[in-house]
Amino acid sequence: MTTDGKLSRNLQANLAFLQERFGCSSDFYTKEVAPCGISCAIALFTGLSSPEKLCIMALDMLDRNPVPLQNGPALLEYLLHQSRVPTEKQPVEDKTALIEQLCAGMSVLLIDGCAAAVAFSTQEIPQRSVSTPGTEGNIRGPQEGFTETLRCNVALLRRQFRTDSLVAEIATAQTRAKTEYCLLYDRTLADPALIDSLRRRLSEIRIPVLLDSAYFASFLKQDKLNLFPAAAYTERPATACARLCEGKAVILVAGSPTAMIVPSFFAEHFECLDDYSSGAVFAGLIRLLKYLAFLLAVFGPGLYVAAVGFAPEMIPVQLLAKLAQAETSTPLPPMLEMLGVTLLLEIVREAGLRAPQSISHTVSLVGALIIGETAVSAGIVSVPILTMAAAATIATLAVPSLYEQSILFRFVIILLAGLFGVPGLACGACMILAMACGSEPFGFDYLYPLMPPGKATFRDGFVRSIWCRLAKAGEGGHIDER
Amino acid sequence: MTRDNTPRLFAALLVSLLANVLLRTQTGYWIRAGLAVAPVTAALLALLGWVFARCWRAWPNPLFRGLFALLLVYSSSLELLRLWQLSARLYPDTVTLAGVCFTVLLPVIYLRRVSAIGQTANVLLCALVLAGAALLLSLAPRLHLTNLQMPVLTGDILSEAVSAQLILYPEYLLPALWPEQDKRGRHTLARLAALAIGFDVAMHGVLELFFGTAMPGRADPVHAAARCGALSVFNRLEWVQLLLWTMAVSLKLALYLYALHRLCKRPGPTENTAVGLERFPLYFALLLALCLVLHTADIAALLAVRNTAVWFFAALVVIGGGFACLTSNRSSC
Repeated sequence: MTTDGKLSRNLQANLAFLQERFGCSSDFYTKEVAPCGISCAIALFTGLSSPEKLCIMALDMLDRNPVPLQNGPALLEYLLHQSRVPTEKQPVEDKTALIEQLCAGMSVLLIDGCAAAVAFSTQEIPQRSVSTPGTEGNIRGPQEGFTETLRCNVALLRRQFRTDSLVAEIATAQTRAKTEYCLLYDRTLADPALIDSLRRRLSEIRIPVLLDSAYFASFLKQDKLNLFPAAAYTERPATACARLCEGKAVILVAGSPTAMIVPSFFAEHFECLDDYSSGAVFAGLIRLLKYLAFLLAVFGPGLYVAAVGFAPEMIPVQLLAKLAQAETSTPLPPMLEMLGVTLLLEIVREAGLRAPQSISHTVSLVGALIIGETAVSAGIVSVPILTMAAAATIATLAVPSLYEQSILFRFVIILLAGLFGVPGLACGACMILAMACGSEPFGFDYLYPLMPPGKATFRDGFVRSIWCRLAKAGEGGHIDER
Repeated sequence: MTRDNTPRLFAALLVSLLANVLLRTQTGYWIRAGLAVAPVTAALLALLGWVFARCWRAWPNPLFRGLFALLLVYSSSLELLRLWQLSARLYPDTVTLAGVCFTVLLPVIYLRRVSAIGQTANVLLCALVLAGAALLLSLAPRLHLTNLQMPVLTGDILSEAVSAQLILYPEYLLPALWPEQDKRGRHTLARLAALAIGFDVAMHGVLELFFGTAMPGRADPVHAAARCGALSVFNRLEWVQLLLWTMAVSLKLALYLYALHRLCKRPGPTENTAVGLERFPLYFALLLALCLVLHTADIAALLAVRNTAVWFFAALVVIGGGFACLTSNRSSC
């Protein structure tokens, strides 16, 4: 029996279909009832849907105020259009829709003699409560984060964005699990061409499983070789709301607390909500520090390798003497040493992240202190190498949204600098620059507003201006106007 | 901010021309002579570029396309050789020719898109301006007006300056290949020539104020001056110069590759602004082979051959295009 085709007028045939599909599942529940004297059956998944809600919403009402109805179609008509029972607007007419509604947590009332069923929104899906997101630290501003429930996340956003122009388009992705996603945008601010393109591209994506909005990212990327992300991510409704105000689109996926924001620009990785809550001067300083941290994270270890191996003139003489002393006492060349230490730090990080929480601290302690200390004592690695690698790792965490890129770029730069010296460093720098410059998220300039330099660069780019100037300049308006 | 689909390569052309000045191995003239002839040479170069673009469109033919492609491949290999020799002088025994080819050409993979070339050029131009300002600040205490030479501007001196400034780099001819070149702003070539010659003259001025009578004999004059910075900035940061210059050469080669792509591709209904990846290994192997063949030759002689070849090619196109204009519909010219 296939899922294609219309529902039968025969209740037993429809029940047989459901039994064949879900009968072996313990959480599938059906019961034959006879409201108003007409043979019907309720079908639902316990745990997803609540039979009590169904009783309160519909069955009790029909039992208390029985209406003289002739047949099934009359009951359907009564429930959909005449009664006070809050049913779904459209009747369920085919088997695919019946399965989708049941899996979405709806209760369905199948009626004998009627080739359609009525769905009731009686979902009672277990969900995590709204809490502070663990991955995005913020001192001031809203502290609530998205959860795994799509409707809840849309509600959180709508609570922040209280206008009639916020559009939330929910669709089902072409996945095996029929996962829902939601495209949100402000229809007065967002570029219609961007939204049309995004809607079309999302609908065309075929993917076996969709567990996070990030799964969409590579489909939306223009140049697959480019390592810079085509989208930004947030767990905070407030950040998503701020991006909606800039005319961007937000994509939420059912089951994931992470919202994807498109298009995303390079400068946004160095911004956070606290920038706008704290003073402009301090926020500007912090932003500049973040840019420096990114440069240190990417180029620091490579620069050290190039300096020690090829261009010692860039190091002051006294420091050079200390470095030379340290390097001569270790057996490996600086490039291999740096690669080894950086790899070890990444392994420690990964182990600390994936290990059970109770032992993750031990992993970090063993990795960072014991291995580091013993490696230096044994003369396997030098202290300057360890210091530089640790500084770069810490600097990476200052711009967490570019973590993956920082790590990958760092390895490439270390290799190039170790093999070719200054030209290798130039090669790496040029590649990273070309990647950033060549990125065109939905036809927008990825480096906007940093390049080409203009007023916007210093209004809300490398630093940010005071709020009254931002407001005057229309910051938070349409992307094209910024 | 949405991107324009048509290429904006003015900054890339400018960076490419500035790199020629920065990477020069010898100075060409005294500042007074350079200033005297600069307006003429800039106008002449701009005019030639404009006439070339008109004639190129008037008579498009495979022979010219092939010759232009050959010139660009040859120029690319010269740029690589020039950078390799400079690197070898700065860091002896550490940089091989293959290493320089690899490090310069690898970023070109990411500079396939015209938009990437244009935007990278903007960033690089800013970096060059900043580095130039740092260089000037560093040198300022050691620039002496008494170093300025006051030779009588004889015909010989002026013609020496003219010949030094009238190097016809392929960059002056490249705008002829860009799509919709008429919409890229008016006086593009004039601005390009004026800025390039102006920078050349300014750099000669700084070098003359710094070196005085010793200027003509200095090898790698810009780099040599930077190393003597009174504030010692570029004593430590000479690697920054090499880094920027390497990036500029990468950009220059990406520009040439885009031009090659336009010369070799078949005209289609849609404008393709990206070079395909599939032929990149061939391009890399070709340039490496050419560099290996030419690496023992005198680079100054090779550059002189390039200049003569570009002038000859431009003359050929102008004569051919002019003839085509005269014999066909004049409105298309």
